[in-house]
Amino acid sequence: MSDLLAYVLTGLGIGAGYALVGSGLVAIYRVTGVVNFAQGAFAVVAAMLTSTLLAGGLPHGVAELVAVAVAALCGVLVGLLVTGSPGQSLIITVGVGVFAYAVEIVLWGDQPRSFPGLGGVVAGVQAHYLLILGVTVPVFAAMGLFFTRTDLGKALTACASNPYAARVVGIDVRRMGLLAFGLGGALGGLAGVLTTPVQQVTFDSDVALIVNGFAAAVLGGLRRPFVALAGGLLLGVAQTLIAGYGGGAYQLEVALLLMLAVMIVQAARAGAVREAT
Amino acid sequence: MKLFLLLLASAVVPALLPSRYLATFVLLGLTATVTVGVSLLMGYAGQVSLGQAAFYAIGAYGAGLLSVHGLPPLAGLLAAPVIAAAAAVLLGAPLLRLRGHHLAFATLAVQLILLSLLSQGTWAGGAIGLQGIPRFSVGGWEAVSDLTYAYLALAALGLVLLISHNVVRSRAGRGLRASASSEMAAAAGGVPVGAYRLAVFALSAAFAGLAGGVYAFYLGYLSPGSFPVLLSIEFVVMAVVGGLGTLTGPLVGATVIVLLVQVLNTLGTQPGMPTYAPSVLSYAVYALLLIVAVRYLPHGMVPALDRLSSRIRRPSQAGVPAESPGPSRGRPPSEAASPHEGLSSETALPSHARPSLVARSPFLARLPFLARLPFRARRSHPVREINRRSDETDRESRRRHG
Repeated sequence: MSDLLAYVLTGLGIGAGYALVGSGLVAIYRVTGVVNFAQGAFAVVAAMLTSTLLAGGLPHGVAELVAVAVAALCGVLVGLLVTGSPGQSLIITVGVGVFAYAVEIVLWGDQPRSFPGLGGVVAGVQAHYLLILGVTVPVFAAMGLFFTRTDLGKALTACASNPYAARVVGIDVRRMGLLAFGLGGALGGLAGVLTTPVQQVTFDSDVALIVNGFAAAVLGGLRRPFVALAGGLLLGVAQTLIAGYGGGAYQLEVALLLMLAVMIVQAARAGAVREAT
Repeated sequence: MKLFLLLLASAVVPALLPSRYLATFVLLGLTATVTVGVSLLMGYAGQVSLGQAAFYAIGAYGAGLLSVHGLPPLAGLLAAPVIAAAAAVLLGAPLLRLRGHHLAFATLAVQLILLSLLSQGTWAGGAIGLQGIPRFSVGGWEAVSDLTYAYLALAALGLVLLISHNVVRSRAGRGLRASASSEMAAAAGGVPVGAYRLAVFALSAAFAGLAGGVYAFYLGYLSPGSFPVLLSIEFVVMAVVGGLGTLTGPLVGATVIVLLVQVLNTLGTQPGMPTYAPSVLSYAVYALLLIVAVRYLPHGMVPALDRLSSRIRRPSQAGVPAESPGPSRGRPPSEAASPHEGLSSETALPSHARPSLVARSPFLARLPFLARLPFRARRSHPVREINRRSDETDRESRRRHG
């Protein structure tokens, strides 16, 4: 029984990381219509930067915040590159992701990196998993308030639901798109910073991150951040339970098969013939 | 025609090459073979696959496993494209309901699942890899030298080009292109969209499988690490850089990128360079070429070169933008479906529809930007845009209900 509780808590911690990556994807997609393949790269950059800053003597907290801010800046830069060229946007972000490999190897080498997180064990679970949850839930609550209660958040939501009408009432859709990219970058960076102490990061761990994040986000059709949270937590718990009760080698397959099943069901419900998105 | 002359000309290359470059030539031939399939899939059918290396791996492992278990290598090589195509049909039946980025992620997922299965399956040699694949042989004759494999790769490329050439020109090919620009219109016109999409998916998988089969016999050793996700991305980069929707495009793209990466590899392994230099340089090349190509040469290198050469050859008609020879050729489908289509296609109108002043004066016609000028100014105001959109929705709902 206590095993089960530990598995569930660990799974929730891991899932919170997926949810952050996924909600970054959602934040960008709903405003700009771009599926950002470089979302995992934000996490890797932030995690690597944090390890360097911590080694350089910055205290915990400050280093993480700086790294998240840098990830947000990277997000805006990617946004500048992508929003100028409609069509082919997925392909451009794939290019950005590969370019990030080159930069990361030059700056940080190709060996896995990590840094110490919150030590200690609570209820048979590494305390750091609880920290991840403890940060993620307030972040999502703040995001919910931001999108529904502030002018800026409402403007973002307006762009998401109807960009033309948003332009009519004087919202700068392009600037909102960049803001969304910044937000997505910060969320991706936060995911990287939070999960690295329990999961080492290498330059190419972005593929696993983006796939899990996409799997979490696709449940809500890439448009609903809270569904992404639910999806991420579900995914994390499912993976940990499967790993805990045998089948440890098949964690990623679970996420992938779940994602494929969800997408196929969604497509089947949407009808046989649709225009390409 | 030009294409096959080019291929014939390249047949003398391996004989002239110093033997240390032959490995690169074999690699180039195989890569180009896969890229032709990717280009067919992306350019003519409008589907992005980020998992094409999965079918490359299926072909390679299929041929390898069959010949390790005692079948003649020729049977293995012939089976490779069939196995890959069969896998594509099985996977494609559910997956091809998906579109755009969903399909891209689904194909990526398929590849990740395959890699994980291969590295855990002891039947496939596990993470260590499949060893002891015999050399390719037909009857008593065994292919040992790199030169033979260079010609084998070239033959695979030629076969694949011949098939694509015929497919593109067939009735089915026209139906495919129609469904890439508007699926609904094509379906209304009687194109069996789903069946064609599945067929072209299987065909591109078969191309990758064939290349994989040659690869298996050439190296004699396969491991899951030989087919990373990055390889799939590389195929996409080559197809996009060369030019989607053309047959020369993938050849040019693959050649340019393989040679460039080879040169940079040599540069990166020079003494004094850091150990990570080769990989960093190749990542940077892939990324920058892809981004630059998509942003500044959205039709790819081959259509751009075509346009340039036709402008040089016929300077008097230079005012007519080069899209006019064939509007569907070389235009990425996703762009054709974009809302900006109305703006760009107006510039490609036949010359009698141009503004009279520009059309009448040969001097003014030589300045291509003039031809586009009046249409730029017509970009509509947001309010008008909303009216237009709601008009369209009205019309559509009226059409639907009565």
